[in-house]
Amino acid sequence: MKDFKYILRLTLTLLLITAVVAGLLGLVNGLTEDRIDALKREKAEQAMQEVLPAHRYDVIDFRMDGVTEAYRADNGGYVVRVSENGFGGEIDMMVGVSLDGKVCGVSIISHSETASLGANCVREDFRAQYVGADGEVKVNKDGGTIDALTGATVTSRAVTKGVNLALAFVKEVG
Amino acid sequence: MSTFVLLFTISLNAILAENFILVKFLGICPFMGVSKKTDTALGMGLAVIFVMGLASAATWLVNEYLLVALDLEFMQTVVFILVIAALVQFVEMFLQKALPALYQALGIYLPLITTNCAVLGVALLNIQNGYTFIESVIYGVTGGVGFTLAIVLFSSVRQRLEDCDCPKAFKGYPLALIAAGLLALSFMGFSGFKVF
Amino acid sequence: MNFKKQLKEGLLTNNPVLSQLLGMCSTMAITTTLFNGIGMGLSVTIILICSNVVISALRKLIPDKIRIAAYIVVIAGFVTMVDLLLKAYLPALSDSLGVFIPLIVVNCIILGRAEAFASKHGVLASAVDGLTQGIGYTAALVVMCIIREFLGSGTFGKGVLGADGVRILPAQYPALLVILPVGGFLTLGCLIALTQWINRKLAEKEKEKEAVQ
Repeated sequence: MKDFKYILRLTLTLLLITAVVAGLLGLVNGLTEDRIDALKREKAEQAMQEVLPAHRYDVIDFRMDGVTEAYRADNGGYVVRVSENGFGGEIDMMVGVSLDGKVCGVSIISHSETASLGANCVREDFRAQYVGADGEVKVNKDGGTIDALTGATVTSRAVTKGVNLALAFVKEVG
Repeated sequence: MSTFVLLFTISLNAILAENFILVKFLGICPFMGVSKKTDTALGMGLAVIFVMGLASAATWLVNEYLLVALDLEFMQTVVFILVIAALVQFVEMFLQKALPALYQALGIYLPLITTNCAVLGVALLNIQNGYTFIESVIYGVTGGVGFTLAIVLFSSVRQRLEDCDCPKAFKGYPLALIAAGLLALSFMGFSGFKVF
Repeated sequence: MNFKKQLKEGLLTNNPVLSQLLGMCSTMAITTTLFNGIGMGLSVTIILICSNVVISALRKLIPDKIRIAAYIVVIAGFVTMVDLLLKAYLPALSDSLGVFIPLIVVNCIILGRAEAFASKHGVLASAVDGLTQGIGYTAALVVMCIIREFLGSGTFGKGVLGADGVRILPAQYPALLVILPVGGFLTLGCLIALTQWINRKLAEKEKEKEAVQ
């Protein structure tokens, strides 16, 4: 009987602590959720404007592995959001493809690459290399034209793969 | 890419190019703590493979069918660590009853695994990388294999460090860390390497 | 109140990273820029103070058998709160630290201090312990960051003083190796050696003093 009481006490204490923690977290989540979502949306919209400026983007209802969102811009180009596995996790990026099937901009929305190495993938000079590509792109280590970031081949390959995926997607749709 | 090739790539990456200890810095505490002897290192490694595989499966299912379904994704960290703690406890009890021989060998390492960041790390990375169930389990198990490879290799280096002559200030951990750094350097060679 | 003594312990003689060798994963993984180091250090300090206070306040209520589980829940709760707040108000830091924020849960410093200090001392003392240990951790991270950033990218204060920091070495000189995982091991190894050396000298001095008296 004493044993049972003790076990009950253990369970109840742990349950109580977990419940309080869960309640508090729910509260904090409620307070921050809207802001986090708004930030995310703002970031995505900024990226879209950056890779292919337009007034309106219409959602395309076509799915492909790795492509998370796709839009047709009112000036005829496409904006494709892809995610690829980089070194530290998923790299979420936006690729703009113009009407003639050429890349017109790449923007990294979020990544978890190492600071000073893979994180350099957000740098303008790295991303600019993709502009104008219309066929399969490759990093220089694989015999292509893209100069991989120093010390971050995995990241560079992931971005390259994402760009190729976006091009393939546009070909499929357009 | 066929599923098999994809799984093979994930495994190879997890073991070599993105080795949990030497490249991703997950699980350094047990790496330094139990690498003094090769057989204990191997025991720890096997226990970690086992728990990482199970934890990947359990946390993936919990995330997909409980947290995502109920829109409670912000509770991920809390729920995952509880699942892992419960899992470790359960494995310990199960082994004690069913496979006492294995329990004898792995038992002492199990409690330490709850706070091994490689285990929570693999659970979080599975979700972050958007892996499917099979991919998660493979990533978990092969991540554990990578951990074992690193810790076993390192333990043989470390046995020699014990008797070597070096400045007093470097005795113990500092020298071990530097040796681990050299090991990490050799693993860096794998990162440029691409199979497919 | 022996705040000064605790501060000295946190910074040097009992530094969580350099003497107790706790929390080495995050120490090596994220110390590539000053911004990361300061952000991680402050996050851990805040979580450490909060969890120490709560655990110390609850220490008589939590049965011994389930204490580790209870501590982990409390710590995970605080970590998630900090994670959410950072995502909402400091997205740059949250992006750059990535998975290492949720991994603070298994940072041995926090559980270690809960078990070794907060579960045995009063609320105020535990808060001070959280603060001093947190400062010690932050200091270790900042030193690591400064060394690795200087040798590895040749800059100072990346992310803190402008996006690229202040360039000290011309871009062709820095050894990228120091920013890579290898550099983390080597730098931490040397720093721990330095701490051991200083602590030994300090201990010898104490002994001499005692001998004279």
